[in-house]
Amino acid sequence: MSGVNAFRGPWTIAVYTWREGLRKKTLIGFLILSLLVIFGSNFMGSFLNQSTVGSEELDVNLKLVKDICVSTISIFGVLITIFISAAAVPNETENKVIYSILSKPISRLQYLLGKFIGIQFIVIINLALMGLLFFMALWFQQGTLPTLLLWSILLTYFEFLIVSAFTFAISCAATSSVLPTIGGFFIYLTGNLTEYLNDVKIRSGESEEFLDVIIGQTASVLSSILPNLQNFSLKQDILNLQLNDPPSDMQFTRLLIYGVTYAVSGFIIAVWVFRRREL
Amino acid sequence: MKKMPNITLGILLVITLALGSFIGNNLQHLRESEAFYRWLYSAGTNARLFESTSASNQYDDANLYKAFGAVAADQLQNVDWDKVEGLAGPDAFASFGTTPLAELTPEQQVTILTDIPEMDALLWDIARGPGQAENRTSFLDGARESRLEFAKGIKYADAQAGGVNVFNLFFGFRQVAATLLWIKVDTLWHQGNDHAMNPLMKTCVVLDPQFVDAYLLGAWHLAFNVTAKMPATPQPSLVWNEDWQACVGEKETLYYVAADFLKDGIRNNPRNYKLYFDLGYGIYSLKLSDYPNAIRYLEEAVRKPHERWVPRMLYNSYEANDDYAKAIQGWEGYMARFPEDAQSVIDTAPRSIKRNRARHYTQLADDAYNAAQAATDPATEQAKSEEANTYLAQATQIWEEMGDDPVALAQLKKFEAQGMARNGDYMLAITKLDLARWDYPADAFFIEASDLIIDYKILAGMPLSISEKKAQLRNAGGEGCRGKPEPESA
Amino acid sequence: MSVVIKAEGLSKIYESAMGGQDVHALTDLNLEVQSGEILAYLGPNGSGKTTTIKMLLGLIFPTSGSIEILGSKNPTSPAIKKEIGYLPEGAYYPDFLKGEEILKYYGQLYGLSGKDLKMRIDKVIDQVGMQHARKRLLRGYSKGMRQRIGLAQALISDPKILILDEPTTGLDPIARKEIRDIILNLREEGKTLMISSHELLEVELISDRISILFEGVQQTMGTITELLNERELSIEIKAVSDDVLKALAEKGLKAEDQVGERINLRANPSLTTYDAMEICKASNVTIIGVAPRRETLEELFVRVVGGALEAKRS
Repeated sequence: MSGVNAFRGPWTIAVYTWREGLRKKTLIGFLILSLLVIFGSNFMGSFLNQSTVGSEELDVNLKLVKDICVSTISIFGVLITIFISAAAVPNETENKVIYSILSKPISRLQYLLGKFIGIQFIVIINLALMGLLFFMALWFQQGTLPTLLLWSILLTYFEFLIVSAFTFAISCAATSSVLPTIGGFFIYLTGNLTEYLNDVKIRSGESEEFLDVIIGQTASVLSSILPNLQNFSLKQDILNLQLNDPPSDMQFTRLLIYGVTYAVSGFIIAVWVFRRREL
Repeated sequence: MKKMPNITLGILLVITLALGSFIGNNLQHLRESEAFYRWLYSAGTNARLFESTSASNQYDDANLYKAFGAVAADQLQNVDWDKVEGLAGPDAFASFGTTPLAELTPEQQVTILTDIPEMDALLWDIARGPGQAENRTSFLDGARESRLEFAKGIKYADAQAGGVNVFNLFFGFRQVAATLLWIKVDTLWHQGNDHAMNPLMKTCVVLDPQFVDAYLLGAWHLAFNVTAKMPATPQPSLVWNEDWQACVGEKETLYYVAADFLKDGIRNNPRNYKLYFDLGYGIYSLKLSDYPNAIRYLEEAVRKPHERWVPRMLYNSYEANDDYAKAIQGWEGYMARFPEDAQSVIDTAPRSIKRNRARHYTQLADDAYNAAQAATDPATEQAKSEEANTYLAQATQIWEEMGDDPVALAQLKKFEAQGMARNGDYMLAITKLDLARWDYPADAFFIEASDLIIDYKILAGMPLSISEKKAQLRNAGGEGCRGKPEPESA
Repeated sequence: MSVVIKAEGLSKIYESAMGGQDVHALTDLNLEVQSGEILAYLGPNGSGKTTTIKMLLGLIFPTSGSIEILGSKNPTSPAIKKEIGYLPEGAYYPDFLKGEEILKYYGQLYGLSGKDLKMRIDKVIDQVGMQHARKRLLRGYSKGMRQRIGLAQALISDPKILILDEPTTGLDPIARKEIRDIILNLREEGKTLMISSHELLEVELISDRISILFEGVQQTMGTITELLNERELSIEIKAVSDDVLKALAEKGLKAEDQVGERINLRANPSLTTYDAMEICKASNVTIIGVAPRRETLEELFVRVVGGALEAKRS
């Protein structure tokens, strides 16, 4: 790695990945759909009969907007994250663009770094757009600036960061984007189910049978190694909490570090897989 | 990196995974502690407010909370109370008077932990600390085995019991479903389908126990809208209800159902002042005229972060409960705390203070007058009469100062009538009161005046009207109803 | 002249996953490219040309053997890659970009920026004759234009070495001519070029040296003059019976092909013109014409590859 170029190369790749990603029809489709839902959630309240609209009725409306928007951002956000993370590298190997790029003075590590950062740009831009509309919807509904929403969206991003990194790692071993896309959904699903491994651990420990003990120990090891995306469920609860809630304040910074740590391990796996890959 | 890339990458991976797993374990501990913390809040609130009234049950909450309290009482001995932030505030410790925290008994200190938000940080430290590790474990086991009632409203704890149920948790569909169901409740209400509403409302809050508006609106529908056109149940039809310790008919049942709904809401959202307020003011004060309970919940509400109108209703309830000193103290504190609330500071608060003072003097005058009546030796009678007249004069002066305030005018008319009655002019007194009760229509005064009229008619030996006879019967019948157990002493 | 690219004992074996036959994509290749020359790297499809090039560029990794580029044993180091321009075969470029944006992107990957980059872009666009289309989106480009922009991106850093994989495949004759001219100009500028191709006619016109690859094995390597048989005699005769042809062949005159009543004979290189004539006369055949001719690259190719094929069969 030559000093000056070490980060400029990845940066250039990131910028072009971003530019290309924003042109993808699926992504734009998801984004438009999600924006429509978020926008539409504002009018869901009109199903509530107008004659009882008082201050409290408006609160139900507010809750409706909050719940629908958080779910929408989660669903479409994770779709966008998985699709873009799964496709970025395989697309370039498939259409051979990667040959002309890796023949430039760019190491594979730099290439992956650039691609990964570019993916994050796209995810962030999408989240920001959805979040902005959500933010405005809440602002109009409740009249005060919904500051906790910003934290909620930040947490959502760090959850996506983990999903993105591991999907990216799979995509670095794949020749097309189909497998990593499925893998991405699998990761999201397992990540959300990690918590139940604890359950398995506890329940399998109840009998002393050999197989049960083995299963329990496996579950125990897996549950401590695999990322637990349910930890990020704070993103939803935080919207209904008061501003200074000691437990959530304490979890918040840890969650950010948690997201980054697992993203780094996902990226290391990606580098490991891609380092000696034959193109 | 250059020499042994595989080993380097492998080591890096192991390091990051180890770090991730470390933070993950830490997070899991925090989330378990958070669930425990929220459960403590619910269980503590329940123990403080409802334990005597809730039909005790198969759940373990109370025992576990006691176990927590036993450990926490010791832990609290090491707390430097001066360093706990934000503990000031006139209403903060109403439950224990003005005693400094450090001088409370350990049990009282434990109670306060889940009472005021200023203690949140301390409660959180205790909940996640090693001292409570054992109770935390029993809490998680209890939640897993569905032995804890209040754990059901806490997402993390509830998930422990549920096994694998993806859609319960994914994307927050549960909350969305609850809100959409609420739209159905709203439709049913507008169709007048009251009976279908109730189970659906319950479903809403099972899906989303933090759906505060569902509790509020649901209770409001039950206690106000549904009952609006129902006649009050005639006394002979009232039946004793063991759970509520009250005589209820169809209409009254709805009040108590609404109150129970709000209590469920409070257990699941112990820090939301709106629930306490609606329970205290909406149900106990407005509907059941049970002022001691109203005061109890309104005092809870003001200890949580609240809107300005919450304490105002608390002071009004003090007044209704004849607790004038507390009302005056409250209003004075209010003026100092919210100088920006111009309407209240200039008008409402001073007027309320005067009203309370006048009522206070009236009460003293009545007591002295009754004492004079009961006195056996003339000297005491004389002294008490003079004392009564002095108080009455002070009260009259305050009422007069208040100008055209309808309450003041009504009270002055009442004083005049009472004076006439004392002089034996019952006819004049009755006429005066009869005019006044229609001139200054307020529920409380109407009842007050009507009761006086009945008294004077009896004293004057005049016949009572049908409705007056009914009222007399009702008053004489007291609180009794079918199935009510006889008092022990009888 | 110095050696710019040197491969020694280069082999690539793709191991089959399920215990099947391993694929020997390249076996024991020794290759040298001298500075300033055009090396044509020839072979039928699937003979290992692209495999070799990918190994030179570090896209895949040799099973054994070594590669040295510009004296460095580590061809994937940025300093070396900076000196290599590569035109991949049938490459695709991000088609949401304009011609000059692609060049900007690739230029930035070389660490170029600002004025330098702008100058380089102008220069290479000029070199490949794409001024008219530089501001057009790539998706509107014809195949020839794409190939030219591909050439331009390979040239963007002004590299010493150019590796072109099938630069003229699939292009029409005019486009081929243009690409050929560009390549010749580049040689004039002193670049070293390695061109892989199976379009023999193209290569014969421009290359200095050739290397022929078949089934992963280098069959021959050398300059054109070294490799092509100069002394060759082609004799056209009137059709005769098979017996006569057989007799002729035994004496060194092989029948090549028959067109109507005419048969082309090729004389064994050891025979002089006079000897050949004598044989014809002795066999009593009618000579229509005699022509000395140089062997074409195509013929060499068929000879070499055909030989290898026969050797393999036997």
